[in-house]
Amino acid sequence: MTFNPTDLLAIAPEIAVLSLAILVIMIEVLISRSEEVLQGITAIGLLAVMAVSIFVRSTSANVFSGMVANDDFTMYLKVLLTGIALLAILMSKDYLKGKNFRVGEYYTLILLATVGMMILASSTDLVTMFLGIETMSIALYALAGFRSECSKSNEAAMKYFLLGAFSTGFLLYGIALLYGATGGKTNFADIGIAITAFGGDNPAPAYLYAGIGLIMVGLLFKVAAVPFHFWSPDVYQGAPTPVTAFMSAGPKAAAIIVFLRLFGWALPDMSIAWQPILGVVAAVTMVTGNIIALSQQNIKRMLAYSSISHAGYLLLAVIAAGTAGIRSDAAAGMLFYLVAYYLMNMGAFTVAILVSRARLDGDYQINNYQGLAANHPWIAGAMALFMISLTGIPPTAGFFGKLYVFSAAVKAGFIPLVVIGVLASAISAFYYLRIVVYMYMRPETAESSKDLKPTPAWKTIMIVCSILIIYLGVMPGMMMKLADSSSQKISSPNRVVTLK
Amino acid sequence: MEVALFILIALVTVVSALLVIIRKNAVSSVLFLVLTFFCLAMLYVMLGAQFIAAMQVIVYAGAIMVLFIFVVMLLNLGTDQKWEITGPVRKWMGFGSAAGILLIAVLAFRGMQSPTTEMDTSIGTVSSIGETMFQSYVLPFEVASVLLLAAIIGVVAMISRKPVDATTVEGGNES
Repeated sequence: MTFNPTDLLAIAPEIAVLSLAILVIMIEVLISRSEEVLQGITAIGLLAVMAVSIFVRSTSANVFSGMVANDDFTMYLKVLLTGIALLAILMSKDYLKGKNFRVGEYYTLILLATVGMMILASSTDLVTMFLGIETMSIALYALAGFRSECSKSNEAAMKYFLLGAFSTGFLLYGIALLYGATGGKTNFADIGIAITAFGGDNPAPAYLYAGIGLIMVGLLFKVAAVPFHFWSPDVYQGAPTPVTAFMSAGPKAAAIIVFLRLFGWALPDMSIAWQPILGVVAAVTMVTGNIIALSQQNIKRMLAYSSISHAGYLLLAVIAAGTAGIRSDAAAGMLFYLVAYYLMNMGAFTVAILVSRARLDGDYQINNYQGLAANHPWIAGAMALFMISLTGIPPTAGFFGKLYVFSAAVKAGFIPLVVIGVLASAISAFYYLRIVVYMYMRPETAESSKDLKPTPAWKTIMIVCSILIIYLGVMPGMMMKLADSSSQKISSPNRVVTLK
Repeated sequence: MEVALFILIALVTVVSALLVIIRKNAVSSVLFLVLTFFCLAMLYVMLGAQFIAAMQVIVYAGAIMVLFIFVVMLLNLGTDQKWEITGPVRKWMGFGSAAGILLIAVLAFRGMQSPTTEMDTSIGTVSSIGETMFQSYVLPFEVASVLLLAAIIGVVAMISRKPVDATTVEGGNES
């Protein structure tokens, strides 16, 4: 098949974000180094990208010979990922003030990571998947080490880079084995077809299982599931906080979506092999993440362990997607969960920045939240809402996210896993609500009565996140309908071209 | 014959790759990396991917490794740890290598006189790679360029720091 120019419409959001990234770096070099200018351009540009994602569509089902998906589900994911980048940039606005950051490069790297995430979330081919993961990760390695004067940040970048490169090796080896076992296929749909040929007299070769296992390791590292999670608390703690927020929402979303696409659409016939393994990983992730979070005294580390446990809940959707007939339910649940998780996590990190900035030592200890409600009722209220939503208590978005993911897993018959998930959420209530208790029931301290000085950008994030969390918690119908209808028609295009 | 050759090359690849990380001397590490790349190029040839093999030698074993060696030598890392073989072993290693090269040359010359297999032109040639890369794989090809752009900007951002101003590290060293 020759190249079809209308295919470009399908990747218009990626092209737009990439152009924006190049524009920002060129402006920084040639015209203005002012933080306001660069930040304004990036933010307005991302709003434009959202519009582009929604309105510029290609009708072709098979773009770039089946390299990327082109459907409503992918479109919503791109809007979500753009939203994550947008909030991360709003959050950075005042955070960067007075820090010795190279602002142009900072924004450009966030945008390039977003391009990688979009490619990753829409990929339906192992080659695009791999390039998406790498583009995203390389930009994040650099972002994690941006606080150059701080040794923790350097440590974070180094750890993330070394372990990330190592996990990439696993992923690539797995891809190579899968490619060999399926007779030279890299396209998800083609792999699925090739795998149906196995069985009976023609058993699947052992290295097919090895390949699937290695790919699983590579992807589990990216979503920070136990036992591949050791990097995440240190990296989350060391990275600049807006980057941490970005990292906990974006890459996790993109990686779990490609996980779903690969295992649900290419490897459902192997689900007997991978569902039990992922089931154990998900159970261990949910339990371990929540239990270790109990003992954390630093809010960034606590949120890191909380994000590990959320990866466990999301894995339930991947597991459910391996069961025939459930996969669109699982995809819909995952989309809803990702939106909810993004809103509450971004909100929580914003409050964390605010509280730590008011202190002289810029410390992220949980003790700092003592008595916050007395002087800052609105901020404390927003934080309480984010914590309640992270726990999954109605009427918040977090509750419905968990409900939909768990119900998909129940439909697929994984009831013990769901029971473990619910128990793990009950454990998580302890450390999430501890912050609420600190804010409302402890006497205020000299530190907590200080003015937090929330700037308009931070106020906007908190207000938008709170409103959307309550909206999705009270009226989840519209978002759910949107997720449902789009996930019914997830495309998995075949490679139409065969090599000569 | 082909299987034996494959096993031999694969063994050398793995052993030299191991030596890359085992050797303490940076220069010998880099030289073993060159050997690994050469062996990979040989494997590509055996798979019928001549163009990729040539690129592997030119780009990796050639250009990139030269850069590596230069950096290592400029950093002066390679002087403290020497790895020398002394005594009669050295002499015999020399003889062995020379004999091996001679053997390969003779075999190659004989092979050229009477090629046993036809070259498969459907894969491995420049035109078939070009067609594949710029038709069905055009999107990954372009994404690879984005990846490199991200890497370049990331490296520049990490190594070229703004001068640190002591008054502005507020909140900088928190845990």
